Amino acid sequence: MSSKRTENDPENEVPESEAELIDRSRRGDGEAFGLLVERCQDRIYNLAFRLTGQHHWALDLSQEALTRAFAAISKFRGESGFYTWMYRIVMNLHVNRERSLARRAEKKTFSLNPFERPDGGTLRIEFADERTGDPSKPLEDQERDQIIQDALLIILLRDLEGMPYDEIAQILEVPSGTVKSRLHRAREELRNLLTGIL
Amino acid sequence: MNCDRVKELLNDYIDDLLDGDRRGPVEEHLVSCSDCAARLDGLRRVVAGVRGLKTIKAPAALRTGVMARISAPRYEDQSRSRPLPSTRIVLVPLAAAALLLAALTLVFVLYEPRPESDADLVAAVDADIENRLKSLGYAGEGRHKDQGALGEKSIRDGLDEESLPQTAETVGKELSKRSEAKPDAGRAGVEAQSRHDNKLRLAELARAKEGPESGVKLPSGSEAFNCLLVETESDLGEAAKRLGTTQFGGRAVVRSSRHYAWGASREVIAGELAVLLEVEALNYRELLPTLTTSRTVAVYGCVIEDLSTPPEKTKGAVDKEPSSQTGTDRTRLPVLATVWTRLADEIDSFGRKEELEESEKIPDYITSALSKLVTRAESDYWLRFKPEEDLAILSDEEKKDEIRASEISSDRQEKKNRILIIFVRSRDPPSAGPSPARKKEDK
Repeated sequence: MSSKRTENDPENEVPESEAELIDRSRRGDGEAFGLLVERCQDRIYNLAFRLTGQHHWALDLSQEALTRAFAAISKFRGESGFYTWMYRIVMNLHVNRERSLARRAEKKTFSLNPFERPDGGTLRIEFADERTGDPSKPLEDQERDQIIQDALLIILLRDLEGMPYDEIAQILEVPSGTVKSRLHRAREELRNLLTGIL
Repeated sequence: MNCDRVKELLNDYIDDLLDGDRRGPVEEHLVSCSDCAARLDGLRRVVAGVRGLKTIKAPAALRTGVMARISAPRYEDQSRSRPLPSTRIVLVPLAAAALLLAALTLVFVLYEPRPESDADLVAAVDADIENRLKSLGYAGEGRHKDQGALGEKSIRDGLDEESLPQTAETVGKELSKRSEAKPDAGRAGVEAQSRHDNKLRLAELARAKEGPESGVKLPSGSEAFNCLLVETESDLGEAAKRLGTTQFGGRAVVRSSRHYAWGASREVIAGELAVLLEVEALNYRELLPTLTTSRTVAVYGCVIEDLSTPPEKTKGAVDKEPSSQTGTDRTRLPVLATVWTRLADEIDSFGRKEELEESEKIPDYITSALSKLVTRAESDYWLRFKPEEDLAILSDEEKKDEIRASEISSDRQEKKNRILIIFVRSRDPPSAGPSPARKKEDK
């Protein structure tokens, strides 16, 4: 394993670029990956927490995502940013888990939480699938889940992370225009719901 | 510009994405239209609300846990050998997506913090334990089932009189079923089970201590160790009550009850260790202190023993050349050292856990004895294992007389059993003079 870093002189160490760390990680260098983790852990954890709403699940989710990222980093081509790629992993992992929970518990909602209230309580936003339309067109689980998670994510990525549309589009793998329209819709829905609360 | 058009542009307006040509007319409209102005105000509040969410710092355990996982060869092998679901991309036809999104509605509900669903926890713990055990190379499902059945049978046969004996799985299920109607019912079951199991173990140990004529085989080191610590640990039920107030309650209770129902077999303990080590790594500090230090120490102790057992006798052992002195696989020494260090840390930090209740504290003599062991362990304990010296370290002056070197078999397992017996004996009231390391009130 190559290592440009000498453990004995952390003071003189020149921080390696993300690309260098990724490159070393691809060669199985756990230490390099550890440095990558250090850099991105807060963002990953925040995302995981907003998705799960529980610290221990957030920890679990972000650990699993990062572990998987290490295992799969050889497949990361750098076409998108590292964060973009990581977010995608977190999201997929989250939606897979939610799906399995939903199957077991007949749960049909996804959550985006928490919005902390001034009184110390928490507001939980649930995206409910209230399909009452044409039953001859059943929504595939995967499709439905994907759409719900994307709607949730857009709010987080845009308004919390402050990401530009094109980066969100990369994460969600939809055109920028779609991101924009979904964001518009999501904010509108929230505005309606939050009238009198916020 | 009319209201519909302004409505379309309000998001861009908020995000400051409008050019001057559109921005001006929007602003003009907003001045004259109170509906649109109110809409803008609402949207701004939403955006500000999301932006105002506190940024949380990732716990240190995140990195530690990831590093521990990626450096575990088994995990790496497993994860590299199969496709990752997380990287699978679900393609959604865009037209369909747009259409279907319209079918979704947002529901906003007040969320009051409440404990997680116990059913979910049970499922999660099940999967967790199974995975940990498998990754340790321990037996598969069949064996666990057998152990579970055994535990169930022993509880049924021997402990009926005290009511509510339940297997761990039943307890887990009951816990979730009853939690709404009768929150303490599940815990009461665990508590009862814990008491019974404890009693059974103590009786066995007491008989074993009578010697060969008792006809009871001396418990293995891990069993004795665990037995001792089970005895000294505060009632599980008490812990459960406290745990019940935390979000980890269900998980911890179910896990602990399994531990008891399965007879604390080495496999399960090893599984628990894996879980606990990870728990520790994950920095689940809310969980560890409430799990009690004694349990953590018990688990560490058992694994130390497990790792110290010659590979040829240990299921799932690494097939490497054993140390000529101790029979310990040399490749395990670093692991052992790690566990010892953790044990030392645990004991060390124990005294500082001011929030722990008195009842949860490990008796001084155990702390003292273990501390000595740990001190010894820090200089490569098992590699240099010498029975006389080690027993001398463990024993105080009175015990030196009690435990004569001639009694010490060269068989390493028996030596360890003897060490454990010393622990057990040290619970007896002193027969010759007071000893600060003993507790008179213990039976």
